[in-house]
Amino acid sequence: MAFNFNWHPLTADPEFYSRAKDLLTAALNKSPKPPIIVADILVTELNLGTTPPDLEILEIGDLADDRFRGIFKMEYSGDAFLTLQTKVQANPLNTYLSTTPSFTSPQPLAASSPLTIPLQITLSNFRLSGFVILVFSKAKGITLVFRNDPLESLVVSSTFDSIPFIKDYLQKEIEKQLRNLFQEELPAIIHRLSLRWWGQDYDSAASSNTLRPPQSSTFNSGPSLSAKPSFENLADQPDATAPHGAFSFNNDLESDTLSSKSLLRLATLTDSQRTLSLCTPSIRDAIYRAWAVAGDRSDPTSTPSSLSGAHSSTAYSMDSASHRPGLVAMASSLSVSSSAGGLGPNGRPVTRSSALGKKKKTRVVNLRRKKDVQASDTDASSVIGGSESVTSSMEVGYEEKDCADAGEASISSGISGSSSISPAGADIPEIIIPPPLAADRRGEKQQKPKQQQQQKPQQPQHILFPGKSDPFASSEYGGENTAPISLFSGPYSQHSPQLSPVHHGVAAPMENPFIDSRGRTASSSSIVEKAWMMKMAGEMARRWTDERARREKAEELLAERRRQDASPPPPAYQLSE
Amino acid sequence: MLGFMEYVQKCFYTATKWDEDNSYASLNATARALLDFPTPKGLKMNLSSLSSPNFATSYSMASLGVVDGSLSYLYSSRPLTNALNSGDVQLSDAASGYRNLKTIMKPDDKRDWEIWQGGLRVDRRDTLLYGRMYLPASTLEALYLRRLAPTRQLKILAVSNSRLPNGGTILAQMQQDNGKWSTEYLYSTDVALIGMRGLYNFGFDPRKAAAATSSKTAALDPRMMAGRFSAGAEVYYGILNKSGGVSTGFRYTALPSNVGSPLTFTMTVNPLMGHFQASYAVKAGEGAVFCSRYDFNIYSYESDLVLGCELWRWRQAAAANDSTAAANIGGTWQPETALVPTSEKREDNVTGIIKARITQNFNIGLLWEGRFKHLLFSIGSNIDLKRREQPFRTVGIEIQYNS
Repeated sequence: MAFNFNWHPLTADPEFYSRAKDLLTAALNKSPKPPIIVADILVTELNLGTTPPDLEILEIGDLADDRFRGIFKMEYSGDAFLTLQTKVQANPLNTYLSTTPSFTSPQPLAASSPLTIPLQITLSNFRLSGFVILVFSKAKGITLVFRNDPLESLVVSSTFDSIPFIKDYLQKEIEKQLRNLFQEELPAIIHRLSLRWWGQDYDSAASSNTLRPPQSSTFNSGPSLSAKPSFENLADQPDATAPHGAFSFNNDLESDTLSSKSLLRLATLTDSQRTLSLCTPSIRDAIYRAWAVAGDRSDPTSTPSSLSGAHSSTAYSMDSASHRPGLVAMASSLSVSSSAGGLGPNGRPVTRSSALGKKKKTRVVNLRRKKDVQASDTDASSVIGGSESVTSSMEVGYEEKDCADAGEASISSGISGSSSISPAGADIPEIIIPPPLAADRRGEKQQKPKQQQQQKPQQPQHILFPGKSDPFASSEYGGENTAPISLFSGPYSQHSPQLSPVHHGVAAPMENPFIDSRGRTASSSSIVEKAWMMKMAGEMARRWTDERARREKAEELLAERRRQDASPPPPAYQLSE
Repeated sequence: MLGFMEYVQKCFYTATKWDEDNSYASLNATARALLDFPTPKGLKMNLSSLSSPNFATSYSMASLGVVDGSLSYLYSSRPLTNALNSGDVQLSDAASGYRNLKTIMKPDDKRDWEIWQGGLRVDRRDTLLYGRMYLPASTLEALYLRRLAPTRQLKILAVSNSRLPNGGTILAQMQQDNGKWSTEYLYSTDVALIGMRGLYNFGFDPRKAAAATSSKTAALDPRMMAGRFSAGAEVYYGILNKSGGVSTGFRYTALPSNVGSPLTFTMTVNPLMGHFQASYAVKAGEGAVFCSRYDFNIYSYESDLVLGCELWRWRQAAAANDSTAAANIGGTWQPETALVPTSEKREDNVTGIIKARITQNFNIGLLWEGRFKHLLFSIGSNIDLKRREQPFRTVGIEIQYNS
């Protein structure tokens, strides 16, 4: 795999510099200026230079035509320079008096007389070094966040170079301002610039940002996030009779917004249900809400007219509310076993992998070798810190890493512009939603022969496992690993017996994707894996019965809304398979 | 218009024979009063009372979009019998304008302040305590003033506000005034600023003059009759921010005893910043003062010119009554002894003072200070002629009632 970073085309655009200058000028004048600066700061010259920064790819979390998420180590020692112009108050007594209350002012007669001097500052010889998190999405633009303070050194030359006191002062002040700029303003500037570059998406992105400011949409283009827009899209459809059924994450559908193709399919599906059509279109890899939550509608096809969009959405929220306790328990149990940052991210994978039953399209390309990762636990721990959090399932672990990265990115850049987010808070709504789906679906799944799932095409998911195994190996579970080499065996074989009842309820939903993934990967997995799979099959069955019992208890509580026993798989499901 | 508390403090200075004009800090007080006068903004009301000769209270309320106000209390160990209420006070005292410098007096002997009673010294130093609380802003101002000796005064000012760095600042000033010269040392906690100011009056020395001529011929000393030339300098150094400031300046004032129009000329120089400032104020007639000030910086070539004037409005009947006296004065200048009572009588009849200033940017400030029955009022406005669409920057009225 090769990446081609173009540095010059960026700077060749003549309008680029003027735009960047304007944005920089605005950013520099936004924050309250120290009293020594008595005029606006103007960016008169800006040149990015000819030397591009050195980028070392540490990790690529997501890669697609329209999306990219990665972590880089950036080092820059190029010839970029920046010239600022402003006016400063040269009399220190004057600036002092402007900040002291008039009552206690010593009221000097003329010692505080002003002397404003035009000042030109040239910043050059930037030396930057830091970890950069780059998230690109066609709809949301570019988000670039510095994980640490990237500024190592720079040279400030000004009108007052001959006066050492002022030179030192300027150097100190400018470094302070620049650190602020890099960590707070620059991400916002780049985001705004990128939104302009993809101008056609600007309006929609801006509106969605304003509508859901707390959501981490910009930072996390991950699939679990993309669930949110699709939720809303569906809810917005006036006649979305089966938003739950349409809650299918096709492979095509994994982008942030539903593609037209998917919309068409969903429309067909909706129509088919409204018109009592016998032919339900199949949507591949989709789990239908109809089967997932039968309590909502005992017979989805028989009462289509009563299910307006509003109704389904309310039923949906009630549903989620009813499962909230279990969810909370799940989240807490997960957070017990994971590192601190993990609550939100932990919940999210559950949402996605198990609830949606989607074969996850995991495009993590971890370029580090296993040993590197272990080694990097020490040297690059700040970057992969998110991946250290241990979860009870492979997918969750993977996703958590993704999300944790994004979450941490968002934390570190929480100030940047419109896309400020609280990761945990943003995740909670999504956490709430899926468990019923997961539980119910597992019920369905278990009744189905497992061969079905094993026949499913291989997913790109496998790619991640090598990288993902490390967190487990180095985790608290790692010590108990009986089959250390097997990527899959460690967490599962050891983890499941440990599960307390609460853990069962919690962890069980997460098992589902593993059944899928294990089945899918069976052909390509090692003997150890197969042996482990056999072991796991028994384990799964046992756990499923446990889970089943637990769920039935819950259903008794929600008797009127819950299906009392598993209904036979409806035709639509088979079609979809 | 001076606030009531400032007026009471002036009365304290008068009662304790302290000349605040004899200080380098007030070298260009005339120009500042005529050119830098503040114009009121919005509606402001002051209700003040000197409930006893030793105790004064003042409440003020301002409404400029938001309502805010302040409470202030003042205690003086010296009974301030010379403080008058708003119905009786002379407008020229209640407002700051052209400063008629007082004759330099020989400071009291220390022994003059001693009071012995039954073999014990019972005299105490005069003290003034003042506190002011700004209510929504939660700012507290405090002043402690103590006449340590006939030639010495300690002044401690403090401001407390949570928004200020370190929660507030304290400024301590030790002032010494010998008549012939005065010095002032100050320290501010803000940036650990230390400062020193000094003023020297050339010519007439009241101490020697009093010793030499015990008779009343001192009043006719030709050196007293002319003007007074004073020179001074100031030095500041902030210990924490390692920065300083320095300036020097002089003032020439025609004394009231001078024949000719009273005038004041000041010149200050800041050698570090290359800043020159010259001001000239002349009392052209009985009720008209004109002032100009020119600023120039030799490093940045920045300059500024401000012109201002102050006009006094007389009570009609009194003006007619005094017309003969005015003609009399206009003809031949009389000795000081005869002039002073006349002018005091005349200033009593001032019913309004109009001040105006214009800068080179065509920024005009207007202020009308007057008295309506027992209320003192000042109406002012700031007009910017360069902004055609909205020339009136601020408009305001301030009303005072002191009892």
